[in-house]
Amino acid sequence: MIKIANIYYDLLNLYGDTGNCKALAYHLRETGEEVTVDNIRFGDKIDFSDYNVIFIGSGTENNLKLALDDILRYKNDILEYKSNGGFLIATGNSIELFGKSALEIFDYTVTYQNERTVRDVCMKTSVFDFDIIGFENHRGTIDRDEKIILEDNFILTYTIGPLLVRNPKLTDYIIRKLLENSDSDPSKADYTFEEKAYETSQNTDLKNITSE
Amino acid sequence: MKRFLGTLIGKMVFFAEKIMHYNASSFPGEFVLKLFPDYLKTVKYPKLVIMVTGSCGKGSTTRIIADALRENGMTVAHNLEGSNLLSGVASTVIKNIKFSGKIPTDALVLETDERYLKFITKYIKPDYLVINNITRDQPPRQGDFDIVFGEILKGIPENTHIIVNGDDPVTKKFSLYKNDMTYFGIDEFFASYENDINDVKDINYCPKCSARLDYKYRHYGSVGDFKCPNCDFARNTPDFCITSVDKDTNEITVNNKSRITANELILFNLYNLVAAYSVLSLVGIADDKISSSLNAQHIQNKIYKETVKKGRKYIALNCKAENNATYNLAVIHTSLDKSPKTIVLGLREISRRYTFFDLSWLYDINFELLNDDNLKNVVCAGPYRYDFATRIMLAGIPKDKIIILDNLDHAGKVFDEQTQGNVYGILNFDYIDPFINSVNEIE
Repeated sequence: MIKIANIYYDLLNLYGDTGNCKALAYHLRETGEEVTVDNIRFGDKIDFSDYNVIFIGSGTENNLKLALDDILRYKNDILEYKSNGGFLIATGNSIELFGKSALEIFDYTVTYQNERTVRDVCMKTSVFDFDIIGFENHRGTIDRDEKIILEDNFILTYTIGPLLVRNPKLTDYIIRKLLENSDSDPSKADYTFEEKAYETSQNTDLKNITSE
Repeated sequence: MKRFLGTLIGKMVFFAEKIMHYNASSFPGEFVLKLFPDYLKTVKYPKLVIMVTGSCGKGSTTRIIADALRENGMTVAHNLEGSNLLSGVASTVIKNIKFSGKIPTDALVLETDERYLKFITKYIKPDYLVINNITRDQPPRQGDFDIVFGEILKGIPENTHIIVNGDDPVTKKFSLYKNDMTYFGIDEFFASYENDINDVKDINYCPKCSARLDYKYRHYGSVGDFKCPNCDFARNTPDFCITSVDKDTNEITVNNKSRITANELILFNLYNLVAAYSVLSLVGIADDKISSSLNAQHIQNKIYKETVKKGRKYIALNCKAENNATYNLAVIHTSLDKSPKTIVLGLREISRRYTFFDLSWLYDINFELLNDDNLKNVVCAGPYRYDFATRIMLAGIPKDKIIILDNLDHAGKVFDEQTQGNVYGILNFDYIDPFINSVNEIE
């Protein structure tokens, strides 16, 4: 059984980030695996050791501040969860919670610009043999060159899309890792629609915002 | 002198556009502002200036207000829908201004873009500003609703009376910054619901004290009768409120006394009506006169179109891409039909302003609400058909109900032969005409 939590579900839910959780749960169930999803509200207690996968998504800057004040108490729990191989998928500006002056689980520093970063994303990584696509819409930036951070089973990126909807191969990668010790068969997951959508966006000209 | 030259040049550009059969409503204004950036400062505006801003419905509300003022004997200048940036407003001014520098009408009614409000009010001070709603809208351009709130706040001049949606905690938040306010709202009616439908909401926590807001009922998302359990932040009774909605006669009542026949009971229409009602009343028009000018026959149908073919209803619901609230209302409306049904989804262009590939807002639409046995088919059409199909699949709707079409051209035969029940087109505005044309082809 795979247990998933979507934390700060009612606070950090801008830009369709809840779709990540829907995609993972849906395809895991296709493999025959039993799945539970807990949508955890702001202020409710989070028992990290109880889960295999934690999702956290984008929020307004005010809401991100509220979440920061709350999540700080879990620093040790999150470090332990990470070293035990738990998955955490942070998308959008929620990655700012994990850097310096915040949880300090990663050593990047966040700075805020006047202009927002708004752009289509298509990136290569050293880990995957496919391009990761999606969208970015945020004001903060981190001092790292890579657009996606992969460490243990933590995946952090400003990329929205939703990330796991736009990138079925990434979802497949996560599902295969999650099911390493399970009898469920990852090849039973059917990504036909997502693959076709992925092709469509690869064939679309991606231009920048036009001035008004 | 600058004013005179600006007016002259602007009117010449309008004239040139006319003889060339070229129609760009904001170009004359843009041209004049390039030459004379402070042109708008020199103009003598009508005694009554009303502006309308917000994420959805500002164009319709502006038109309703302008038409009602005219019907009550006033002359009115107003901008065409969508010409709501500074250049569009300047064009409206140039079109209506006399060479004396005066706009001779009794009133000026302007639809204003949320983010451009502050640039427009730098030159034109509205007596009344209506703020319809603030929702997730065009995220690549707007960022988020908190940012839009901040931008509007910056654009409200000191002596302007603001009229806001009191059912929406996001617009109610203006009360933390402003005193002189009027609220409009809608009491519980047949489309409201008491239990959380587990959709994505813009606001769940009190902006004053961060406690979780309680609700008696909701109309959609975080809009409804809310109350903070911890402090005084609450909906309270709006000054102008739709107190009853009759599903059979389409009659609505404002403040238990004024009856208006609405031509469609879609929530945003009701809000547009009661927002217009509020400002018309504040301007001093009598209740019975407001009611008669807001009656259905005067107001164009925009959101909703219905036809019957071979005993099946075909309903086109006009939504805005990148705006989940318009879609969620269409979804709620569709869910109220408990008979067998089909939905049709699609769009041609995500945005007319930019070419970003951002469909993340599809996951802020609660398609899960439609996942039941009554839903027989889902048609996903257009360049993003597989993105829609993915969304529908992830809502738990069985894949064998999904029909994929390249586009909606001549899709009538597919609707007629391959789908069941009433057909709801939950469509971006650029797919409304192809849908209606396809329906009309059904013999």
